[in-house]
Amino acid sequence: MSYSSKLIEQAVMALANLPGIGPKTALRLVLHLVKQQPEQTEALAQALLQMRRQIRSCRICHNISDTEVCSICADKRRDTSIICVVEGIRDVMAIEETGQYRGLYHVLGGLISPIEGIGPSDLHIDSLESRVAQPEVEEVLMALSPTIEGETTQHYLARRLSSFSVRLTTIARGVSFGGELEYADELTLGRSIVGRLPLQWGEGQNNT
Amino acid sequence: MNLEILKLTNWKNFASAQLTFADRLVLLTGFNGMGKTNVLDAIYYLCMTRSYFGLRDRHLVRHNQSFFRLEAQVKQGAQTRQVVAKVAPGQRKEFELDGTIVPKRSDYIGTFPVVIVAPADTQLAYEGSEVRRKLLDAALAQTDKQYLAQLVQFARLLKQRNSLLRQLANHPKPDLELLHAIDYQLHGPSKFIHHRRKQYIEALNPLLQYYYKQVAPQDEQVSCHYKSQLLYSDIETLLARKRSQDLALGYSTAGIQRDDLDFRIDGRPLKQFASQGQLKSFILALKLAQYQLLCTQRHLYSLLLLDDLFDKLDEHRVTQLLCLLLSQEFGQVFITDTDHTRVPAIIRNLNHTFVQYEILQGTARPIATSSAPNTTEDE
Repeated sequence: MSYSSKLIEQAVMALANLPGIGPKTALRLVLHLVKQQPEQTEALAQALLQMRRQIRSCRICHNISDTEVCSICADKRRDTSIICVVEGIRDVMAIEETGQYRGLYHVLGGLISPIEGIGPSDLHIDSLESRVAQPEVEEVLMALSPTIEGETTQHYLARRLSSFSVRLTTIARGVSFGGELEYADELTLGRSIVGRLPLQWGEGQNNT
Repeated sequence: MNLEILKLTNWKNFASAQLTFADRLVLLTGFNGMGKTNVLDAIYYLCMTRSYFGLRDRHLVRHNQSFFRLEAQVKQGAQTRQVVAKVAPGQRKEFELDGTIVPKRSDYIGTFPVVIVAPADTQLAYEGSEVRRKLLDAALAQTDKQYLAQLVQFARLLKQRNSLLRQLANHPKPDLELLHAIDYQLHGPSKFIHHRRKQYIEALNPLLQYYYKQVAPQDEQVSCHYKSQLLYSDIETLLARKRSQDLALGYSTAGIQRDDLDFRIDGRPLKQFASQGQLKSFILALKLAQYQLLCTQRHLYSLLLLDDLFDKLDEHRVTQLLCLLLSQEFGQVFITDTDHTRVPAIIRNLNHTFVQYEILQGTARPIATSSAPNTTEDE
């Protein structure tokens, strides 16, 4: 596409670098900004700059944070006896969204994959170890993707943490809630059968 | 199972052709280089989603064209099924089964089971162990979906392990915890694959001996042995025992990726002691055994594609083989031959019907095969 203005072209190119945005959407956004008051664009640029300059990762759990210690780690009401290990920041958001978890998190920053050149030392594992060494920690819950790399990371962590007196758990895997059996893929259904659970009588639905 | 109609568009040297196979015996005759094998490979491609001869898709397209299309109508029991392959290399590769696009080709493989026998198959006895493992894997993948899934998982884990070993090799004090974690994951798939391969070879051996007796002029003892480190110790011990060696070499020396098949004739290695004729008979018997296992496991007659099988065989052996292929043990059989009249004459003598096409420069011409009185012989 050819643009009559070099300035427009620059802005389009910059926006088109973002995920999910192609040159056409970028042009639409840029033309929209041109139509608006200049203050609006300034506010947008200011918000982005400030966000990028001041955002940091939590010293404790490596989650994204405005402050040195993130709001979850700083929250006094949260259960400090359990740490949930996740691959990335989006996993924290997804689990928070469920409203079912009140413990703390630990963001690894990736999964172990020798093919990609990612080894244990590239992930936040040492800091996890020192956290687990704290006496108040009783349980480490691994919430990693059920892929080969996710499982490798989980087995590796289990070995590293085996010397600590904590309970190691992993999220349940199987048929999705509200899903119908006939539509579940064979692998998932197979795993659900291998990892079947005892049926509990009379305890109701809300025993966590 | 009967392949009734086959349509080729821009496939190898065929611009456009439609072949109708209204019989369980199909004969494709023509001189060398006319495209007989291409027809067989088209059938194989439709069943297995790739060429038997290891050709990439862009080498299967007719010269100067951008796509090819293969289409078949197959009768399976009472059902008539349609399969279409539309392939434009670099752009798309689509399989359509009964009008619906196949989402995962690995799920489609095995829908139309097939076994092919080609002259180059005798290399199975000479080449490295990889070709023999591939033979095993292709056979098992057609009958067992889980096998293919486990194989894919195993391959990925092995790649991870080898990458790790290479990284650890130049490390002064390697962290072995990660290696242990990967080894632990390898246990399941290794055991599964080993078990299935072992079972398969056990079932194959009696059939191999049976068909060798049928196809070879002399009576030798033949066998196929499954060679695997896992036969002598379990995978846990094996990986532990070889760990320091693996670390020194930078790759995995133990496991099912080293499995092999050992072909024997009268107790001696086939590749050193068999004559050319014996070798050819062995490979044919092996493939026919594989075919028979496939049929039993799938409860239907698979397609059998025989490329240039009768080359250099005397009339007596050709008759003998045809009698076998026309027996109740086999379903639809496709045969290529360079001689237009020799095989038809023998089939007529055997009082059997057949379909014949003459393949000439990428065209297929049906030949009238008014044969001996059409008696109840025909299935």
